[in-house]
Amino acid sequence: MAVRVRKSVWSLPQGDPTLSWYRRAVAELIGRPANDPTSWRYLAAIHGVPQGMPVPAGAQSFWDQCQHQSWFFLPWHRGYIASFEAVVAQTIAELGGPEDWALPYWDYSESLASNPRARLMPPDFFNRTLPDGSPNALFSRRAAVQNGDFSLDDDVVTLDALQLRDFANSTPGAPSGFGGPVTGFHTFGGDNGALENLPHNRVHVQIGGRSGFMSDPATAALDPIFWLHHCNIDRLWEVWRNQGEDFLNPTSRQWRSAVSFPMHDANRKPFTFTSADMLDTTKVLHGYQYDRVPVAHEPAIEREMAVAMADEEHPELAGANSGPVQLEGAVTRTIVSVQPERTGRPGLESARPRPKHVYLNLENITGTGVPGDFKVYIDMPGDDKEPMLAGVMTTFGLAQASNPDREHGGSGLSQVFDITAQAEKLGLTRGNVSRVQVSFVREGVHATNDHVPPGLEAYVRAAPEDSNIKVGRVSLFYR
Amino acid sequence: MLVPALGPVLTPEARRGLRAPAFRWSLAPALLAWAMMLWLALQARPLELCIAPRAAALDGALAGIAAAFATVDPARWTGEWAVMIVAMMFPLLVPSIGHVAARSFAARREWSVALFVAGYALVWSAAAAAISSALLIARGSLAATDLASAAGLIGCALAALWQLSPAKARAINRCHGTTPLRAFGPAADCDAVRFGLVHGYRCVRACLPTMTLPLLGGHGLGTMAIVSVILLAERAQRSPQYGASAIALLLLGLTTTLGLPPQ
Repeated sequence: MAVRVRKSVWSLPQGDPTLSWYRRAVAELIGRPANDPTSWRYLAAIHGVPQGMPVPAGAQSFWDQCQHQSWFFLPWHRGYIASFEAVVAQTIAELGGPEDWALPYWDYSESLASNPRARLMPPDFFNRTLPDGSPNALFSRRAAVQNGDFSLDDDVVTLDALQLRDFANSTPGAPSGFGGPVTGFHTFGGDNGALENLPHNRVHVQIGGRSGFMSDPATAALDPIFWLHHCNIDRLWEVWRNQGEDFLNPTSRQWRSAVSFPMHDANRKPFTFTSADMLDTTKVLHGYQYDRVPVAHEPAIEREMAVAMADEEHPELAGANSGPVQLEGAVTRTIVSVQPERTGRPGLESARPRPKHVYLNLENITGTGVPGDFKVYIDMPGDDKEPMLAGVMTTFGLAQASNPDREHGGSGLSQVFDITAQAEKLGLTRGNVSRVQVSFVREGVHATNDHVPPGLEAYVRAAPEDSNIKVGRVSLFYR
Repeated sequence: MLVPALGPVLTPEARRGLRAPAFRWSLAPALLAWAMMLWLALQARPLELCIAPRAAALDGALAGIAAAFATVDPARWTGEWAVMIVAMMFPLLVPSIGHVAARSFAARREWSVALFVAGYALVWSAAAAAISSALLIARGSLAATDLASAAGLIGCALAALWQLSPAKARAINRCHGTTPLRAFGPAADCDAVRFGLVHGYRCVRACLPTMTLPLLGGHGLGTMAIVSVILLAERAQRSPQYGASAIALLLLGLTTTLGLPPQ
């Protein structure tokens, strides 16, 4: 069979049966027992295990393995959604549907000029019932919004991540590149890769709201829209890779083959895959391609991609605030003091070379619930100029990363923004500034609808009374 | 100038690793400690810590305990404990020292790491003092019974049970935690020491039973090396093989009891 072609969900013509078959397959999979590797619950639990879902015998090594804040984020999710697609496609074929069904993607970043509805969730997903009054299996517990408008604004669907050339990074204090920080098998904690941060994380929380499935990694994959969202993230990896020969996947053994991940295929047969198995989409399980990605440049895989900037000087701590900051209310501010420069002998200029890069680090971000995301601004304390946006601090996975009993001991999330341009404007790079104000502006979180999906009642959580979030330290690093 | 002389052999990353505080403060001291213990073993001078009192015609457990304490030279015992902790535990400090080093100003990096290590060592010293007495009491009690020859197996079996407990897995997870470190002045000193204390406490809780219970029946360098590999592996793996390490400890206990290598 020819490889499957994944299409934009908004490009499907009127009357196209792709989503109606998806709906029938979802209903079928929800009805299967949780210990069946092709059931909706089993497939979702591979990403994260909801409270109240006991782990069946033999499932321990398959469940709760999603890779986040890691350079395995993209290859792991590619294998994961390919396995899901295989199960759904086989189910659809067994139900009498087409043999070549492929998972569609939701390109919420598409230009509004070419598709004014791009940022709206397709109606197939947001109507509670079908025209005949029966429940819609594609509806789920999500933010309570009208007409599929989850407020996916420009700063949510931004594709700035595609501009980064480094796939990964292992240097403390510096941003983690397009794909994520260098890690071993890694579920939660630390810094996001740029694509994982935006649009991935924010889209999750915008759709899930305060207590919907999508806001929590443990329940996210129970929502049928999860798979279209991740299909798009997977497509964006292809878009990034095909931009040119400077956009290279890592070729180190540590990334390509040192870590393998277990899944089941559509016939419930276990298999494992590595990142190297995920590089050519036409060879991932049944094989697939996207209808819209740039033409691939000749892959330059023989060129060893050193882990980003490995031979450069490491960034050095240049300043920090005075201690942990609890983020409360709409805006929270903290002052970062820059370490006084050592000038050496009197009369000499500063001993510290002028930095080429300035990074704002938000360290040990811990908390509970779904506090939402925060826009982070920097400016001079006491001046009346407009603060400059440093970046968006996303909090998807905060509770998992803050749990001391999970793998990373509750160290929390972290976030690194390259603020070199802003620092230049503030005079930081010229050494003229000794204090910088950092402001955290809370983005709203939608309330959640009251829907309880049939068959998934046990995993619905009430909206938490409150949430809290603390940033352990705010610091500046110079390179 | 060893490092420049190895220039063609060492990659830039390896050179950077050798210059890093984690090497100076954890791996280098650990290598020295292992070298010292190996040298002593080659000199046929086993650590006093490793020698369990032999079964003897003692008049009850109290006499056995008294005999166990009487065999100990406190100064030597303390020194040997220190060497063992540095050899076995310091290699586990690489990630935490990396955290302290990366999050400190360059000018005070060594000082911050030193404070962290001091806090960590303080907790281990307190734990060693407490466990020493317990170890001597247990050895002395066993020496006066028919179980003396099985002390090694008993200790390893208890360590294996600890490996299999859910509390062990939780304790290991907590060892991966880091805390935020304030950057300036006394607050930075305070946070470095506090992180050392917290990390030391987490480490003692996770590793002390695995490390010390196999000592019950006396041991040798081979036992210490095997336990060290277990401790390193369970820090490095995403899903530590606690069942496998429990089996390894039981086999270790059997070899100790039967007087087979590794001793």
